[in-house]
Amino acid sequence: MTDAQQFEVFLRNYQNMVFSTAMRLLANQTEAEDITQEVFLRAYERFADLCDSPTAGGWLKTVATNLSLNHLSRYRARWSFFSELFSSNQPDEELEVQFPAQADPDALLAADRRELLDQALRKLPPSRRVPLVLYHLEGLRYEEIAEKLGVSLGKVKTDIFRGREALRRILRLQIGDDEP
Amino acid sequence: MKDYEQQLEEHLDRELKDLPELQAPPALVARILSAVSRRAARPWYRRSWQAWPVSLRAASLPILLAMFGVLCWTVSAFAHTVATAPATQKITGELAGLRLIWRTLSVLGDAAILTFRHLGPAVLAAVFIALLLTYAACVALGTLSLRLAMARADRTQL
Repeated sequence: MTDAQQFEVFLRNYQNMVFSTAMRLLANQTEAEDITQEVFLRAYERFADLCDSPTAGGWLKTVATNLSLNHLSRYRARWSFFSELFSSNQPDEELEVQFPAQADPDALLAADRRELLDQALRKLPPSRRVPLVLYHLEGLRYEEIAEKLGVSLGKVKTDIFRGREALRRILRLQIGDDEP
Repeated sequence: MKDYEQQLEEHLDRELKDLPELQAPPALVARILSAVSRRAARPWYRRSWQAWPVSLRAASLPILLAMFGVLCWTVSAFAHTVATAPATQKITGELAGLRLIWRTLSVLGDAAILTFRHLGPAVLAAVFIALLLTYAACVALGTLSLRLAMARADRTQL
C-alpha cells in the first residue's frame, strides 16, 4: 500500500471522530469542516510518526480541540462581545428544539433522544456549550478547562451548571423532586 | 441520597457520553485529499522546517551557526572599536560595554527631554499619531501584498 493510500485509510478511520469533536465545540458545519481539514493537513506532515502510533486518535482529538478553541477565540472574539451579552441573557425557553409530534420525552426512542440532545447542544450559546463539551465529552477537569479558556475556575463551574440546566429545560428532563 | 446537581451531572454525563460520532459529510474526504496533494506539491522552502528534506535541514544548521558567529563577531568588533576611541579610552574592563550603552541611553534620554520641552506636547502628539498612521498603513499594505501573493500562489497551484 502506498503512503497516499495509507493516509486515505487513516483519514477515513478518523474523520468522523475529528469532525464530531470540532462540530460539537463550534456548532457550525462549515467551520467544523475547515478545522477537520486543518487537523488532517497537520497529521499529514507527521504521518510517518502517526500512522502506526496507538496514540494517533488522542493526538487528532487534542489538535481538533485546540484548533476549534483557537478558532472560537480568534474569529468570534471580534464581534461576539455584544452577542454573548445578549445570548447569555437569553432565556432557555427560546432555545427550544423540535420534538417529534406527540412526543413524551421519556418515551422517545434512544436514537431520537440522542438526536434531540445533539440539537440542544448545538443551540446552546458558546459560553455554555464549550465548557460543557470539554467537561463531559473531552473528559477535561474544571481546572484544565479554566486554563484552556483563560477564565476563572468559578466561571467554568457556573457556565457548566447553567449549560446543564439549559439542557435539562430544553430536553424537559425530570431529575429528582428537588429541582431549584 | 444524591443531591440534585450531582444527579443532573451524572444523568447528562451518561447521555452525552452515549452520543454517537457525527457523520462527516461525504465530500470531506475528497476535499482533504485534494488539500493534502496541493500541500505536498509545495516547494520545500514554503514548508515548515521540519518538513524540509534531511539534507537541507542538515545544511541549514551550520549556516545558521555561521550567521550567529558572524553576528557575534560584528557586535564584538564594533564594541571594541568604540571602546578604544579617544573619547572613551578610560572605559575598560568587563563593564565597558554596559557603561557605553548606559551613556548612550542617557544622551538619548536627555535629547528626548530637550526635544519634548522645545517642541511642546501638541507637536509630539501629532508626530506620534503620524507614526501610528504610518505603521498602520505599512501593516495594511503588507497584509494586502501577502494576500495577493498567496492568492496568486494558490491559483498557480490549482
